[in-house]
Amino acid sequence: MKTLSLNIIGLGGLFSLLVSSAFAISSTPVGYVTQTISGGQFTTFSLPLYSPTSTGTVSAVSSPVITSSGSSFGTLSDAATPNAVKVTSGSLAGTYFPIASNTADTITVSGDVSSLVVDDTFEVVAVDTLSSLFGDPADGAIIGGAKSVADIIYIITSVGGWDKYFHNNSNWVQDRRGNPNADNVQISPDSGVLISRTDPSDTSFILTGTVPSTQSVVNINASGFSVWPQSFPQDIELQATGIQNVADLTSDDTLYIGTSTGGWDKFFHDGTNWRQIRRGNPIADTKNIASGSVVLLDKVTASSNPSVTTALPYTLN
Amino acid sequence: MKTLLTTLTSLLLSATMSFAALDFTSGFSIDSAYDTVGSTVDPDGIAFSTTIGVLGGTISGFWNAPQDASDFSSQALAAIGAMSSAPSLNYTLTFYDSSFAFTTVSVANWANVLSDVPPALGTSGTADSLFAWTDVNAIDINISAGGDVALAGTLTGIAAVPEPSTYALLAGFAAFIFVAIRRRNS
Repeated sequence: MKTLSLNIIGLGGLFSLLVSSAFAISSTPVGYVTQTISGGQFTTFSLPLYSPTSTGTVSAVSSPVITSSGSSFGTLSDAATPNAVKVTSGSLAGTYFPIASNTADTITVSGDVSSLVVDDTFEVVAVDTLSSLFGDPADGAIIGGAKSVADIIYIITSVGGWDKYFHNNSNWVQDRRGNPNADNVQISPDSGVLISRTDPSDTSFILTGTVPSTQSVVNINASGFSVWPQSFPQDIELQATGIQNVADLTSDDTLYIGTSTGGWDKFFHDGTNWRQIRRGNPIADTKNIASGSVVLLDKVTASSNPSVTTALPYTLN
Repeated sequence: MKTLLTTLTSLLLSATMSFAALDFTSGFSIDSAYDTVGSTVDPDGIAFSTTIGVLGGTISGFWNAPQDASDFSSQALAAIGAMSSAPSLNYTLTFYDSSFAFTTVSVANWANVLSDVPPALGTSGTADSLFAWTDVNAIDINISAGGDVALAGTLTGIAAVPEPSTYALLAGFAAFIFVAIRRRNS
């Protein structure tokens, strides 16, 4: 996704105009967005574009195996070039499933796909890794070296903690004893990360890919902290995220939205409106959630298999 | 006969209590390279008093000599100690051997330590197949993200918690011995 293509840039420029001036687009566009990582602070980071490589139609399902008769998939589960299934129609539309293995016409995923039915459609989507997305310090964007000076990537765990990674000028490594190689740690299109940049200089990435054309479905942790990525290429309002519809969400649950200075504004949903946690608890339904950012949800009450469904915020004709 | 019963009971208790504990009170040091909450080691164990924000935190340390924790490999585990402030935050345990192979034990809640209730903490976490339980060298106690909440306490060690089935086995054995003694007496 990081590779820059002049042709794609051209289309992207067109897409930028279309999105900013009118939300009716005649075909699924491809393009690019620029993501900035601020110096000397935390930045939230997600992927507003994605990279479908092929499509398929479900001919049979025996979860976690999807059969797509007539397909001729290549290897989709290579550690350095992983892929995921993105369902594009049916009850699971907008949901990503990592690919564990595959044959020419079957795909075994991680996750429960028993809700898929025959004739549901899906895309095979290239999944970025730390190495493919952020590259190498020699590229000039990411700072590597000792962890005291390097950019640190925070990826949330399934229990609401964080795994941390940095580039040691040889490889991406995890910040733990032994610093195991982390070049192939995946950053799925339906996830997001926090980036801590000690260096005072800002840096930018150009991300290329396809504009999402379905709703977004993001699975979150049953309780505790989760990441919700704003993975559409245009800003949306807080009330349009759909987070208020998460199962068992209560006014005790807290939403964290990053500020421009690396801090956090906090919000809760009172059952009717989003409100900011500050004196007076002002209504915040229209709070802007920037494209390519991440919000954090601290969920107090556990619920099983919670997810956030977000409607497509624009129209693709 | 009473002596026999007492001896057997002692053996049972001994069996129950024989699960090893990894001790934080001696021969243990904080690893400042990985500890993010300012932990210290005092005579009672690892002491910490911190505020947990959205980035969570890590209590990290190492033993001065390799520890044999082979009893842990098939047992649920629990942090033992005392908490003066234990919000509803979770933690995981990651053990390292001297070659940096590691295994991560699944989640438990700090409130378990405060209430002295063994947590439902399994050993089915991310296991490195090369990890040597007989050569435990270091530990990270990874604290999940929180909303600027206070977390304070002192941990004396990590203990194995026998599975309910183990207790049932011991109880069954005790009942068998008791019945056998009664029959012999009668």
